[in-house]
Amino acid sequence: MTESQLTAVTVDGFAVEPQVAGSVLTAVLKGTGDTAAVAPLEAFLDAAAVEVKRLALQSAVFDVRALYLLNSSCLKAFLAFVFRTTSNQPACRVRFLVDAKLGWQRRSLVALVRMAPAQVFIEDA
Amino acid sequence: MEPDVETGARVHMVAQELAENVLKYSTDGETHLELVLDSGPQGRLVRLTARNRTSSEKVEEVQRRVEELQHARDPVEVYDRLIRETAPRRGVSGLGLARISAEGGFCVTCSLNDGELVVVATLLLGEEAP
Repeated sequence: MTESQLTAVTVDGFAVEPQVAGSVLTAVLKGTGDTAAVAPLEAFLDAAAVEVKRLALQSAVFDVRALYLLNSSCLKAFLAFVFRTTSNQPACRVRFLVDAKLGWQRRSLVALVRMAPAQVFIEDA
Repeated sequence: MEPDVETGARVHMVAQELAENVLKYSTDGETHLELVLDSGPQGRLVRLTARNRTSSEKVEEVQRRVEELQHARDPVEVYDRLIRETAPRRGVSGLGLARISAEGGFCVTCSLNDGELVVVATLLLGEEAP
């Protein structure tokens, strides 16, 4: 387990559980990505972008299968993370694990793939 | 298209985006959000209407964005451009209306009615059942 300064996020109806192992950051998101989640998610992803650079992480995996909504402000927080981490050298690969039965997850996140197709990937899990 | 889980998810996303906008930008604290299942000349449709009083700057911004979406060859192109522009910036996303159109597949219009900004998002569901 790599020494990471990332801490878990737990607010009413929303949680992020991070873990860094080797060169991979994994974050499991749960709950509702609504207005209440925006500030804690932005803060978490800001810190995560710093850790990706500090630890030279090669991959960030966001497991959003237990997420039931992602508003545009939360989506914007992921855009900022992708923008920051894909400009690292070498660029960090960003993978989203989605629930194939929840089509909205892929439909929402595919905009990030269009923005950075060489770095962002969506996988059914 | 039959109303199904996917349609429900689209309506959920659009309702959330509109509700957050009217709540965030209302200048008098009074907001309205209405969802109607209706029939029109092109068949069944779902229509969400958001109303609030807001600043003249916000009215202009919404009118400009809606006009851009209405004239776009493909709303996804507008959405993707906004995404590229907004990614490096901090703060408000400004993506909501474009997302409603590009990701949700809704047609978006806006008007001013008695000082209120009215934003209408409409999704055609298909032909009437026989």
